Order: sequence, then structure tokens, then C-alpha cells
Amino acid sequence: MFAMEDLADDILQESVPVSGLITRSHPELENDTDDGLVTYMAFQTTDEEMALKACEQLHSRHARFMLGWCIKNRNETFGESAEDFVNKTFFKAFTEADKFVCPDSADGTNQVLAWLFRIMKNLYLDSRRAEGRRPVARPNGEAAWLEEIEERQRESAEQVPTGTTAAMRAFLKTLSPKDKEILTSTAEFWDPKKGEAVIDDDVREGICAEYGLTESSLRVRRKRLKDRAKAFIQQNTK
Amino acid sequence: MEHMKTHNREQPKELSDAEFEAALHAALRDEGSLFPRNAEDVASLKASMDMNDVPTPDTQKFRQLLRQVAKNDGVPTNDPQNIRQLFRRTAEKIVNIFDTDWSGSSEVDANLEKLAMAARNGGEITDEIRKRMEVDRAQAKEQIKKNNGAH
Repeated sequence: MFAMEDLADDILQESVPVSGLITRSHPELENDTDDGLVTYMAFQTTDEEMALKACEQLHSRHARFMLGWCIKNRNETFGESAEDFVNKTFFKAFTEADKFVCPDSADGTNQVLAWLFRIMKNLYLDSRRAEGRRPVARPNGEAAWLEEIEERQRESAEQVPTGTTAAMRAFLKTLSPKDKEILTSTAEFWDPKKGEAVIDDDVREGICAEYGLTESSLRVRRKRLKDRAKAFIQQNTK
Repeated sequence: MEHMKTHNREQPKELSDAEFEAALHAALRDEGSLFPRNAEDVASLKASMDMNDVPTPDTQKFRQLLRQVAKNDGVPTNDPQNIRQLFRRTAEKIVNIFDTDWSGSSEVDANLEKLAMAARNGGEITDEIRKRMEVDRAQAKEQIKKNNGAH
């Protein structure tokens, strides 16, 4: 089958906007846990109607939270396409539901949300690659690669002194949305083992295309931001 | 002189590149700007995120789209443009797997079946669309020939 996100793109572009908001929920599923809903979704070949209802129920519970994150925390990244990204995340979750494993059912809701955010992150990376005008082809094992880097990121980030982190946060507040987005987008790829942000070519091209930058001007701009940040932190850390 | 002494005592060392990256990551993670990747991140985001002014997503629209995705694999077959797109994708897939037994590919078969369904359901294929489909088909054949020749 071809990529579900491509199909979702087509539909989202072609669908006629629905006027007004109707909040739907399925009373029979209201007491089900989130990981339980994903289980219904996974059994879509056995009971498609129940699977669809479960996905709608999951969407009605969490789409606003995810949309809120896109708007409040990554508005520069998602802009007006935030709701489309959220919807595409749920489409993808519907087709990939059988791959979800809940490691801790006592914390099922947060486990499901973390899974949904991982799906959204992969959709975001794919969209960056698409903007780079190259075929969207996720290398085998990429998810594992990302997890490995993220684990190293966590360990290294936890060693940063609190004062330095606070100064960096203050510095980020001084930046234009575009400059902050450049740092944020590239920070997703920071590999502590290599000491730098290792961005794959397709994604880097996508970032450049979005901001009208060449690869060298992206590098220069990021370096200037880094130098400014270092100076700011040096001046503002006690 | 006094100023210099104070300056030297209080001025911390400049961050190295690695320390900068670690601090940037820590700051972005703290403020929730990086994609949350586990339940712990999600819990912390929930506690800190201000949901005021966040619009309610249109669940009715989502419901319609989800059912369309589930029913047709996302390609409405009553729109000639979509039919052409479906054909183009099918042709591309055939090219991509030219050296395998594509005739048994469930993906290609499914797409061809959808094209047939579109025709049966009365999805009108205009002359213009048909011409474009023929061009796509010719290009796909040409590509297969070219690739076979290269082997």
C-alpha cells in the first residue's frame, strides 16, 4: 500500500471544510482506557466499525491536547497545518495500531500519547524530506536509531547545570520565531556522541527549502546563533 | 582594577560546542518544545501546558476523513484527478519493482482494482485524463525498458 500520509494529504487538501464544530463521542467506549481503544483499533480486520469508533474516541480525547502542543510550543513548525498534522497522526495510528505495545497499562494514557507523538514526529520528518523534494523513504531501523540518539540526549542534557539551562531558556526568548525554529528543528538531531546535530541530507534540504536558505547559509546562521547564545550565557550565568 | 578583579572572578568560562548543544537540548526539553518521546515527557507537558485559547479540533471532519481513508485507502474514486493520481502512483510502483514479479503485488493489484472500480462506479474518465494516463503508462513502460536494458 502506498503511504497513508500521502493519502491523507490528498484527502485533507480535497475535503470540503465542515462548518461548525460537532463534538462526537461514543458512549459505549467512554469507560474504555486509551490503550484499550488502541487494541480495538488493532482489530480492525475483525470489527472495522468498532475500530473506527475507537479511533474517533481517541481523537476526541486527545486531539485538542496535541493541537495545543503544536500551536503553543511549535507554532513556527506547524503553522496553519497543525490540525492536519494532528489528524494525519490519528490516521496513521489507525493503520499502525497493531504495532502499539503498552509497557505500563497503569499509565496507559501517557503511553498512548507518547506513541502518538512519536508518530507525529515521524510524519514531521517525512514532511521535511518531502519539502527537500526527494522521495520520502525512511531508512530501515530509523525509529531505533532515533531512540538511541534520544537516550544519549537525555543523559547528556541531564548533566547540564541548572543555571546554564535557565540562561539558555532566557536566550531563546530573545530570538525571533524563525531563529528559534532553526535551533529547535536542528536540536531534534543533536547526537551527543558526535557532539553536534547530525541531520540527514533530506531533512536538512527540507529545512533549507522552508526557510529559503542554502545549506551553507543555514550552517552560518546556526553558528551565529550558537555564538550569540554562548556569549549570552556567559554574561548571564552566575 | 577593582572592576577587572570582579569581572575575572564572576565571568564563567564560555561553553564548548558540545556544552552548548546539551544546554540547548535541555532548555528546549524543559519548555516542551521538543517532541515528547515517553510517558514521563507527556506527563510533564500536561502539567505545564496552558490549554487556554486552544481550539477544539473538528471531530466531525475527522470522522468523515477517517471513514474515507478506511474505506478507499484515502483515494476517493469519483474524482478524475484522483484516478489519474492513483494511476500515476501505480505506474511508479511498477517501475520501482520492475525486476520483481509485480503482477503478484497486492499493492499494484489493489490499485488496478480501484481503477476498475472507478470505471464501474461511473467515475467519468475524461479524454484529457485518459491522455495523461496514457502518457504516464508510456513513460512507465519506457522506464522499465531502460532499466531492463541496463541490467
